[in-house]
Amino acid sequence: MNTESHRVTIYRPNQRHELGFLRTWTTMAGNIARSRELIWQLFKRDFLAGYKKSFFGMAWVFISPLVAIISWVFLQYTGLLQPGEVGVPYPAYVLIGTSVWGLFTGLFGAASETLSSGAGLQLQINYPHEAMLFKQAAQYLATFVISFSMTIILLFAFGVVPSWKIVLFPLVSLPLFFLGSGLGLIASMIAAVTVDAKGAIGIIMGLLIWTTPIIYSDKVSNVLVQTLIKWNPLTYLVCSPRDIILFGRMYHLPAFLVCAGLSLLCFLVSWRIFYVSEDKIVERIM
Amino acid sequence: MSLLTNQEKKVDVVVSVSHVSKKFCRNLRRSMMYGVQDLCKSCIGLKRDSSRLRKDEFWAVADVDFELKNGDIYGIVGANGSGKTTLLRLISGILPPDVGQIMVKGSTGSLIAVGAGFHPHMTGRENILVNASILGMSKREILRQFDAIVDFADIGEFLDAPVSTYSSGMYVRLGFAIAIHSAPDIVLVDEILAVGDSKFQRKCLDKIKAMRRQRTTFVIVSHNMQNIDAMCTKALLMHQGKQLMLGSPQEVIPYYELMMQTGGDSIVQSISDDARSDGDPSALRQVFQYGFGTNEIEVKKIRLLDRQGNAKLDFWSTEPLTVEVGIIANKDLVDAYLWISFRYVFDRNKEDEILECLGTRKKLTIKQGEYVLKVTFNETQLATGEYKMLFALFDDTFATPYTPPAYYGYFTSKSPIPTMLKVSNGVPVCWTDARLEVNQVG
Repeated sequence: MNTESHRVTIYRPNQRHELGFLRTWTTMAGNIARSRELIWQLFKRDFLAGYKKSFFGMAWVFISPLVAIISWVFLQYTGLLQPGEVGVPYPAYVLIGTSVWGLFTGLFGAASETLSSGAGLQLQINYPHEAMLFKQAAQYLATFVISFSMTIILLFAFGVVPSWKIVLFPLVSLPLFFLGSGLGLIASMIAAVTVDAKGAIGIIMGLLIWTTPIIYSDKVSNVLVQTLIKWNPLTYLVCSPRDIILFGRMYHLPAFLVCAGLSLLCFLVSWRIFYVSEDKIVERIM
Repeated sequence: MSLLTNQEKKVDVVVSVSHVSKKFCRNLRRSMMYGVQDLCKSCIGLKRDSSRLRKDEFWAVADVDFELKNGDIYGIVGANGSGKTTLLRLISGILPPDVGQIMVKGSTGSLIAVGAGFHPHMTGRENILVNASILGMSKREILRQFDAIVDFADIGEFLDAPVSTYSSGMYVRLGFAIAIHSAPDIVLVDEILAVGDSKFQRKCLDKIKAMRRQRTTFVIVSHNMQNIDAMCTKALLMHQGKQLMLGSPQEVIPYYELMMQTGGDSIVQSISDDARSDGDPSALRQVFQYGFGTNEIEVKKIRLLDRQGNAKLDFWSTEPLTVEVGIIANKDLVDAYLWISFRYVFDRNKEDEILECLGTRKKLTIKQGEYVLKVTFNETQLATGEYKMLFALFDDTFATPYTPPAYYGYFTSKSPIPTMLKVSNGVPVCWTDARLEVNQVG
């Protein structure tokens, strides 16, 4: 008999609905804390084993961002893109911007696979499914850190010295984690019920990048684009981490703070919805 | 003992399944629609009414109710699709119940699919770390148990090979070894031992017995009745999600086997009839019925009695054995034949591997009415082993059976001296003298 011998667990219908909002978050946070070892082992399994059956192995982690960098540099020097005045060499501007955008979409994509990534396990073993969110996020962040470091090194090649405020980058990017993970958690449940969602979400994400001043300057003259930029919360959440590296300043601090607060709220609400719904959703993955 | 309060009686209960039901949807498109509906309700904070069936939904588990005590080994048997695995998933908390409540005291270890989480490209050694973490073991526990796991799995140099190169048996060995060393209080096993070779199966059964001595509770789903009979303290027979019968393995197994022969529906009625009778556990249960017979004679109950007239199912080969049969004759019988034979059972799973060992036939003339017939053999005269009894009443030509001839089983014979006699199939019935006594009831 181990130490859990006297722990009594009750399972009954709609049990999770009975927990209050605050208790949901503390319960899930507790589950995550207890699942540290599980998250680490699954992260290692999926991150390292993914490259085991590959001749190039871990080299793929470097090859993918390198190809992206080369393509933006190519577009710049051939004059195919006329992005307008952005204050720094355009490739540097767009590389950092797309990296940060990639952080958002990557976290969203990783979170949207929270349920499907554990599909083989969920019906065999009882474990906190929310742990998969952090495993997924860690897996994405590991590749992001490598490609982002390469991008930062490349900045010097364009004569851009990142501001010392780059140390604030993790903090300023935190709202992107909240928003990406929050929306991703909901997407993971919809995707578990119907595969249509995945395609639709992919299309929406592809369009969203054009409503955010990442590839072009925010000083565009088109009124419609200006309005989209202004009301798009991603403008502030993506441009602030970019600007803190390139210019050492935030992109519209008050709007950023409002959007950061909303992102946190989105995350907490999504977390709650995930917690009360996922047990019923999981049985539909069968 | 009667002074114990309900609370005290409940102390030993480690799993309590109270009127639990679980529904699924058999239509994929509708299942998606219900999923979206449920999700929307959750988003706006509405509870789902899960107790009613919507279109195309069905109860995979319906109103199951039982308790498991500390150290019980509980066998769940039933045809494919009867709800056994769903019940295990409900107990382990993988699926939430739609109706009822489940209480689990202590940690559960699910062996619903061994090796859950194994990555095919990782070695056995690497997968031990991952799988053990999934089963809830801490790094320290894993390292402490690592050698014991490797030793139990006994996969030799394959430990450092990717698990994709393993045979299915090796896969199970490693998965079972990890799961069993995660030391749960309640272990849920779903028909996984069938894959391992007989040596490994024996090793697993020994381990299960050793863990039981340490008060670990087991719930085992299996189609191997030998294992259920040998290991389990209780058995539950399920049919179409319902709990059909709960009792000792010796009571439940004959019904399971009859169900496998006949398809199930007739046995459901038979069990309901038995539930209405006096529920005598020492009565022999019918395990197979031929599809002919006039049914002019109904068999109510068959029991085996010892010298003192006590019903039992376990005899020494040297002691007298009386077969007591309660019948209702719906017509007068003149010079009818009563037929009894004992058939040695080599393997309960192989119905046709039997050996006629001993029998008798007696002439009988009775009027319409209810009777208790007693046929006494002065000595059981059966070698050590397990037997089924065939009983039938035929007409005077021996051509038409009044009762459908039926096997009733199982009972055992023990020899006072260990018998080394080995006989092969095909030996004819050895007719022996027996005394017939006919008593009219009422």
